[in-house]
Amino acid sequence: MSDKIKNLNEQRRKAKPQSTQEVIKDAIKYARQHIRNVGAEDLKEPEGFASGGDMNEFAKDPDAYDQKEREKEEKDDRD
Amino acid sequence: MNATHRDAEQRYTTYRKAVIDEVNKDFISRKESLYKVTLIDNEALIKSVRWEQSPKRRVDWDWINGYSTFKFRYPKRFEMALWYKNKLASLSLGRPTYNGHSLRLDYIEGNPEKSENVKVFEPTLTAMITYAKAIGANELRIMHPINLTVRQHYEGFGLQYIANGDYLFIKI
Repeated sequence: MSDKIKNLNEQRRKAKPQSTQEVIKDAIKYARQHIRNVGAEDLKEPEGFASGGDMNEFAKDPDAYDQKEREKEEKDDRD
Repeated sequence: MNATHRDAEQRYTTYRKAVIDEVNKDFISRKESLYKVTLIDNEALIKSVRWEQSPKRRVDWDWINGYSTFKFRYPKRFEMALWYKNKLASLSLGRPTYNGHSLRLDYIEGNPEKSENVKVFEPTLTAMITYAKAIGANELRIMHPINLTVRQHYEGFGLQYIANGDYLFIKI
């Protein structure tokens, strides 16, 4: 097989879209590698671990809560 | 629930289940089979009610009501119940941002009585990265760390704090 054809086959292989299953398998490997790379495998977790907004306020009036969160996202200059 | 909403719920449940299956396979391959993840079901919600009795609990969230409202509103949500030795270790809920570029973790709570060797954030981060990539997001955001210690824990995983929005992010 000529180099030109080999190169074309390689390009076609790379261009082929991954299935969701392949994306998921690769993503797990990526996540594990990231955790290893940053040295976080042995980090001790804080006691009473929790994080997040006010779930009860959200459940009470999801429209109002959602509107506030949307406005914050729109103002976020990183976006 | 209209047809579009129902279709999205079904489509994204397929993604959620595929991620859960793969995270469970990963536990087995790393010889951590005492851990298991599931979607948030009735069993997990009922077990979360016991957390209300713990003096170590840092939040007063009603997961039954909160999850039900969140589920109805966000068909593309991220959700996970983490189990260790068949005991509920944590619950987490998030959703894509409105522009779809990021996946937010809106709520995570570890069982306040879990032993300190049981980790909940590491498997949650693994599942979040996986779900984010499956739905085409290229960033994770962890919203509103409850205190400096928790924020520093996230920073240990390579996330960067944005004071303006009170969240941490990482590009993936």
